[in-house]
Amino acid sequence: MAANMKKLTVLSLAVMVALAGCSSDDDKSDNNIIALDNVIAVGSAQCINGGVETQVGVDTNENGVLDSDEVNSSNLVCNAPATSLTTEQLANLTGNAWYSDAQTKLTATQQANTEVVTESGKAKNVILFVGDGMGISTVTAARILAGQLEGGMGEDYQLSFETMPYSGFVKTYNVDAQTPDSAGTMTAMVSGVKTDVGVIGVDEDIERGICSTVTGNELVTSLELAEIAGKATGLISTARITHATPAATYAKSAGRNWEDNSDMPAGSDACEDIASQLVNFEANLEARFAGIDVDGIDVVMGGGRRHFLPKDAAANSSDAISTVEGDRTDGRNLVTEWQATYPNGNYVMDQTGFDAISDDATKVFGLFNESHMQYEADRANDVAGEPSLSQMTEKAIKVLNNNDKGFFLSVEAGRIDHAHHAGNAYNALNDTIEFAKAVKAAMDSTNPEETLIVVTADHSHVFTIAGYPKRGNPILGKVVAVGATEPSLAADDMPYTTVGYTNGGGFRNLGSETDADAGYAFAPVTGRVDLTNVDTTTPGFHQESLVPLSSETHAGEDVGVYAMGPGAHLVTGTNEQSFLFHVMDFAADLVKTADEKLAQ
Amino acid sequence: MKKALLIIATLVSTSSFASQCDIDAKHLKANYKITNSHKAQQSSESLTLWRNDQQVAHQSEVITELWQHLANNQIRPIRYFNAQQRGIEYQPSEVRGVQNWSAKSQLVDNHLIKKMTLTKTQGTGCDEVKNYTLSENGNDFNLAFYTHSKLVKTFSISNKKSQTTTLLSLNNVSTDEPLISAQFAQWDRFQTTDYADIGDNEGDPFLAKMINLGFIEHGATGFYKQQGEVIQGGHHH
Ligand SMILES: [Zn+2]
Repeated sequence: MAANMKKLTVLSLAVMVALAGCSSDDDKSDNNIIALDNVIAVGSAQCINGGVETQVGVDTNENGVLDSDEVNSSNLVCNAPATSLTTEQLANLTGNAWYSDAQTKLTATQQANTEVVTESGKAKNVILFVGDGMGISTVTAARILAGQLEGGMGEDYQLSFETMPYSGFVKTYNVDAQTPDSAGTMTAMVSGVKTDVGVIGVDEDIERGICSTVTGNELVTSLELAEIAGKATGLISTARITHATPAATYAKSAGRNWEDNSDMPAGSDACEDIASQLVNFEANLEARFAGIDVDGIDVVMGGGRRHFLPKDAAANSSDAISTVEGDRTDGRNLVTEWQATYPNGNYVMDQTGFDAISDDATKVFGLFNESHMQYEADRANDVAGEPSLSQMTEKAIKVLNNNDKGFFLSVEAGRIDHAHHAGNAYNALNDTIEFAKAVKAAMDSTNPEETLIVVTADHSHVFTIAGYPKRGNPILGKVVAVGATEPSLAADDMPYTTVGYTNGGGFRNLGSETDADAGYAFAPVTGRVDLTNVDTTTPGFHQESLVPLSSETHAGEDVGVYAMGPGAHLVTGTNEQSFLFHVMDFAADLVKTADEKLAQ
Repeated sequence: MKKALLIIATLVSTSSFASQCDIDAKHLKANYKITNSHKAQQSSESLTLWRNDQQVAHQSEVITELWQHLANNQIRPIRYFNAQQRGIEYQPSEVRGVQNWSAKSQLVDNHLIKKMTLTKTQGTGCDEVKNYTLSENGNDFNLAFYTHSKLVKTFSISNKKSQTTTLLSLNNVSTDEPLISAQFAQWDRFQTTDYADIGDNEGDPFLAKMINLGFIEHGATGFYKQQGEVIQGGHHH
């Protein structure tokens, strides 16, 4: 088109020269010369920014109009590029809340970037929050549920850690596994080294389950470095405190299940079980690094009492859920051993004991359940009562703050994982919401200028948010399409839920049951179930799954990591999980300070 | 008032016979045969009921279900796999629904017995047997129950329409306490895993099998469903 136009212009010029030779009188009397301005639209091929094309010619047929065969010449004048739009032109944007909210966020992000402390060692305190099994889809669904529980539509809601200025992705695979487990992943996070699936605090040269391969392959953890550096240290989990994630901060074990001596295979006498490593932490660390003097972990709270008590009904607590609570077959009572080591320490096992811990306590040991602590939604059903994750976090920070050198605290929501394994989104999401509350408690009770808070997950689950539900549709409900009021039907003429699992036990409808593990009485359900008359939002509903397995599995995609405080700017991009240790180390100079202590 | 008097009279008569029976109902082993009939087809299996104070076990060929009755009235279930000598532990739940202690320890729920009509009482002392009957929703229930040991002598459920009958009958009872406590001690030594921890243990061949194949559904102890709902026998359909 542009080429044709050029050609036409050249031809016209030739005609003009010919015309110029004619008598001017004749021209004026016989024919009118007409000049025509055509406005060229913005975005056109001739002029991207718009312009004017002026056509000139003689109205030879005298119809008063310059017909296309009468054009002798044309001249194109394109507009200069616009450098700004007018307020009127922008009104549709600036008057839109999505637009103005994003502008506000942009300003805040710019401001945060100018305040970034890129120097190392500026974080006096470091808190690592791990949502066990809290994949990205879990965060999204929990966000929606949290918003809906507060009366909103949900999608626009922000969980506490979603307001943090930095975030990135974490590649979770273990050295020998595409889809990882908590043992290998937490070891990577707290020791800075990726390792095999199922092993704790040791590198990949270990042979899983073989005690003799532990020696020489032990790693050092951020909690140990903080301890050596003279900081206060703390450890919280809603799982057993001897479970893989918390254990990776203090124990070295060839097997994640070696939680007490009765769990260890024959021939493992040379290795110490995980519970014993927890109560002997101070002595073990001092033996490992000659010359250091540490005071032990200051706050330990979680479940798993059975691994600390002897297999003797006489040692049962009032909170027991078995005829004999303890599992230890070596006769040791690690609770009384801990009390002997720390005579001024507070050992607590229920809500009443927890409530009585004063903020100036120096050592706290809380074992609130025989095995894992309860799901948050099921907590009211605990025998002797137990604190929530947010209550434990708040209390731990108060106690750890007594050390003026700062603290390292690791907090795990251990049961998001278990609820997912049980195929029960209700409990997985409610435990995620409680996890976000615990993060909020930490954000509220620490100084952001001297506290690095890192929030992440160890791995994901095969949990999906699917279909085309309309905005604000109950996240645990059936898919109701945009503009519809009745659930959408699948090709099998049955409704389906928004959230579901790729594998696992599948459909169960246990109504008001708040314990995700109550689904045990049923074999996996294969195939689809008619949910027409089922309330899928109840605590006891277990979502459908595609591949029937007794237990739903972990997933291998990346998880998110969120951060605020000194060093948080390093939390960006897509990272190996082991990178997170290095961020915490950089922020608090853990290795450097510990090295200095060792050199003294 | 008349009703209350009747209850007192019953209690007095029971206690006078009780002196003639010193069976320890809390420690015993009872062997049962379960026979399922459907039209002309018939199949049978065995079930052993074990009681050891606050623990009850239902031992069948492949698995053993054990329940611990806790001080707070919760029931904690453990499922043992006999051949593998392994077990899965579950969280205790409050006594509700099928989690009824009488259903576990007697094989017949007290709620069901309460709904039934006492037709006659036979025998004295340890041999005293009460006979009950109930027809509900097309099911005919007939129960012969040892008063003192609280054991089912025979219990049948028939449904004329579907031509099915399930019969539970007691073969023999042992009160050998050392044998009973030894059996419970043996189960206690089996390696157990929390239900919640199964998903994280795919590296364990036994649990990996459970993850991939699903739990082996049991069938032998389906007698205790409350409210006389359709009660299935040992078949898995
Ligand atoms: Zn898991």
